[in-house]
Amino acid sequence: MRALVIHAHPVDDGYSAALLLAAVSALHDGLHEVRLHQLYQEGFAAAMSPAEHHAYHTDTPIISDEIQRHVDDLRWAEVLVFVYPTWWSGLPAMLKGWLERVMVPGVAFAFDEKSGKVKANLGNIKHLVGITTYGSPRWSNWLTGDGGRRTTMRALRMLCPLRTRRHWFGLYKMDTCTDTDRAAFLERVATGMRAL
Amino acid sequence: MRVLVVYTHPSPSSYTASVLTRVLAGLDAAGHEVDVLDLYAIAFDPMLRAEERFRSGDDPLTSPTVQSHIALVRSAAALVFVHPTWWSGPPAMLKGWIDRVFVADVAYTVEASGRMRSRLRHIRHLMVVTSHGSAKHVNMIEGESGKLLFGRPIRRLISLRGRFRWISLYNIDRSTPAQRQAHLARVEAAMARL
Repeated sequence: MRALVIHAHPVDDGYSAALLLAAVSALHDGLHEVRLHQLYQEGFAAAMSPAEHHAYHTDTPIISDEIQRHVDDLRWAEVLVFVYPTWWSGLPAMLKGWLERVMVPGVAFAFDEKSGKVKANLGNIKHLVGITTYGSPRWSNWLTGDGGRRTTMRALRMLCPLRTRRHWFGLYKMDTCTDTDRAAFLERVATGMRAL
Repeated sequence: MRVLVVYTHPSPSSYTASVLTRVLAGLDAAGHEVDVLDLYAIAFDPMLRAEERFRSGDDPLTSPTVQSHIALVRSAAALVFVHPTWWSGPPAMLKGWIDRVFVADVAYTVEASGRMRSRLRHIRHLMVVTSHGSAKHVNMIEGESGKLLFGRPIRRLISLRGRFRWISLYNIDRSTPAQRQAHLARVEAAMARL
């Protein structure tokens, strides 16, 4: 399958980079084709610009080659993988901004002219994968509602076909867990990606 | 009361801009002292950098812009967030402001024992004024991550007797002018009662 991997972490060589490597290597092992965007490292701008906002509701919401490349990769993909840290129980601004700037009308969804309703448009996505680390324990994220997981696993899921499968990998208490926990999580991610 | 209004919208002619006008009118009528941060107007950089991740808000290396915003948060008794809801949450611009400003020794302090202690107990009112393109039930299926962000992890840091209010217009894409006007009036009245 064709997998698009989106990574949003400011540290180039930390645990998040190791998670990314584990996921991408396992996808390669499974003979999947991989395209990768490391949003921090490629200097992606998180905030939707005023010009992009102005274009959003027009027939041409994509106004830069950079965003067009991301859109092309998204349309090419059958597997969409997000690797990111959970901050304030949600997505880092960088990844939130990627959704806002890349998943514009005509890409992830379309507005139905008559009813004004949103129509799903991610028919090519067969697997949605979220891989994240949390500073806090699992019970705490359960209490705060786990907004980031809801965004990647529920809000996005609504724009995919019914048969699309979700795969969620979360490592809790990132700052205090043991090396064994971290190694086990890397292995869990790799096994999960190989099994796709 | 000193009120900090954090406003996020890229377009000065948007509906959210008119919401801000009414928020400020209401707060003014109630005689509050108001600071406004217009994140797009000041071209705030919403991207948390590697070196900032574990930095205290008191660290002299913290960017001067972020330091000035921290000072506004510390002197406020009420926080009012005005923004559209995109992808069921606050725009990246605002999420990044929270990531960069609500850091250690500003929003919370991690004690030697590892326990987290709130530093936002001086906030007596936490208000969010927002609008959603889609209907309430669609937002519920999507998970309302924005409402959860303010209503849970941030709310639990404010004063124990503090109030959280979520004032939202759902389904704005298919709303009538009358509904939008009514929402504006509701917003202004809520602010005037603060």
